[in-house]
Amino acid sequence: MKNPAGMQDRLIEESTIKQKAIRQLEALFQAKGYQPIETPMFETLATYEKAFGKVDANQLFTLVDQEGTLCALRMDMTVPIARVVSTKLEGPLTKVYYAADTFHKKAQYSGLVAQSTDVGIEAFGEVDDDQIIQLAIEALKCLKLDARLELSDSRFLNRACQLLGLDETSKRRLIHLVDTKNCVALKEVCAHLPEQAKTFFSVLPLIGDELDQLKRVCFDEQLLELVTYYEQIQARYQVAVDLSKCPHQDYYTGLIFEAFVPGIGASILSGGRYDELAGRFGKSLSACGFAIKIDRCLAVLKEVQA
Amino acid sequence: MSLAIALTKGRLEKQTVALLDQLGYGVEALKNKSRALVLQDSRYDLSYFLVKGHDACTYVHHGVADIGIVGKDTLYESSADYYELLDLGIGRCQFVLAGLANPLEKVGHLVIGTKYPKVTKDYFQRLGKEVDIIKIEGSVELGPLLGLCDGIVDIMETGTTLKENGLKVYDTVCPISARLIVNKASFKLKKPEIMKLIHDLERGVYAQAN
Repeated sequence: MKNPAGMQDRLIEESTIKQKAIRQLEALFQAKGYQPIETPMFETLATYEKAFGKVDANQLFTLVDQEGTLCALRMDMTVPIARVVSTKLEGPLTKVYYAADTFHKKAQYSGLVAQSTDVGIEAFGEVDDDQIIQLAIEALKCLKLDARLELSDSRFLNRACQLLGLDETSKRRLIHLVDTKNCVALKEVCAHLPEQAKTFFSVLPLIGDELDQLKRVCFDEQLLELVTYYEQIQARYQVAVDLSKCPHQDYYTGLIFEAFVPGIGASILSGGRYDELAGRFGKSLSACGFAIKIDRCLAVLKEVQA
Repeated sequence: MSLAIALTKGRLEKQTVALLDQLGYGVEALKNKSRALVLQDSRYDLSYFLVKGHDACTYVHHGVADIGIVGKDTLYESSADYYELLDLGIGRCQFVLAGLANPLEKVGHLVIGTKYPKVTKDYFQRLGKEVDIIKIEGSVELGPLLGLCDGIVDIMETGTTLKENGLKVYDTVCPISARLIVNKASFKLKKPEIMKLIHDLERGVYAQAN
């Protein structure tokens, strides 16, 4: 007998480390006033379509429910929770946490795993960015991970591209090139831009933390305001900033962030602000949250917790 | 922090090693074709290993290599996740459309043979032409000669192989050269080391171009 493709067993040693880490995080979230929540293992495809506009069905594990409605194993917890909070919960402030398995199809023979336990929080209502950033820092600290938390903002790159008056296709291409730091292709595209924009887009991908330098090349008031905002947060929490990133979920509306740990080739924590998602399910509520991909951390957790 | 670099074996290998050598990197082990699989730089805190291009992308995606030196032809076909930071200006050649007769002028069902289905698909999509693509692993020139397909999309360096087989180039699809790619997490965690390497290589590329 074999495992389904892309799926893994967790044997005793790894499972012990993982469960301990989950309990530590849950204790932290509870102490900060978050409450547990559970949603079904799969959602109707319509729920994801409502959240994303269009879904790539190739990335989802699809199935049908008892009535024949097309469904998908949940690919994240943010969308299901936004659905629940928007349709079933009352009150101005909802703060929930979860540790739940999510599913994402990966390319065959890529060595990537299709199932991931996400441990995270979502806060709906009046919550400021600072609270969420602080909690993310504490969560990483509670796992004793020597992590680099890096902030960005979904509005920054979007605004900069909008100012150029590009058509939708060119705009999306430019955003993609900056986001993947494709300095080679970017150089060609920049050649056709006005002088100020040319300077801005050619330094943006590599500028990272040097926000005073970034300020000098901003060619718009709103861009400048955003840089100043993140400069202050950077000073308050000693976190990293890279404003050249764009979110990989289209529901983010402001702050986005990721965390990286030496020895792990992908981000282990991601999150951000998504003020319009609950509204897509009927109740307008601002929101912010994050999740830790706990399975990715296991090798490092084994070392630091030993 | 130490950097692990995946170099592409074969066509690009010699030029990459020469470039590093010229910049003062300690690449003796690479030049001497040592039997070891992972080779240390004798001057800097770097290690190199030689793999096939597509595997270099895989190693970088997983973060096992921080950096990869890979041909753009391979990157076009890869779905791995990475930052593409520098054009090394070496291994220059191009993708072309070739055939016995001009495939673009064929009326009706068009069949193209190629080792590079993604590049071919994108190219014909840009032209707004419908096409059936057959993946061929090597000696692609045979396809049109034996009647498997109407034309091919392939890498052309000098054009000799095409000419010897009576095939003509009808269009240039896109240029290719070697690129430096970086694992996303590595870029965040080892930025000073990575930027130093990039600045050095940039200097080398500039010197070669002038």
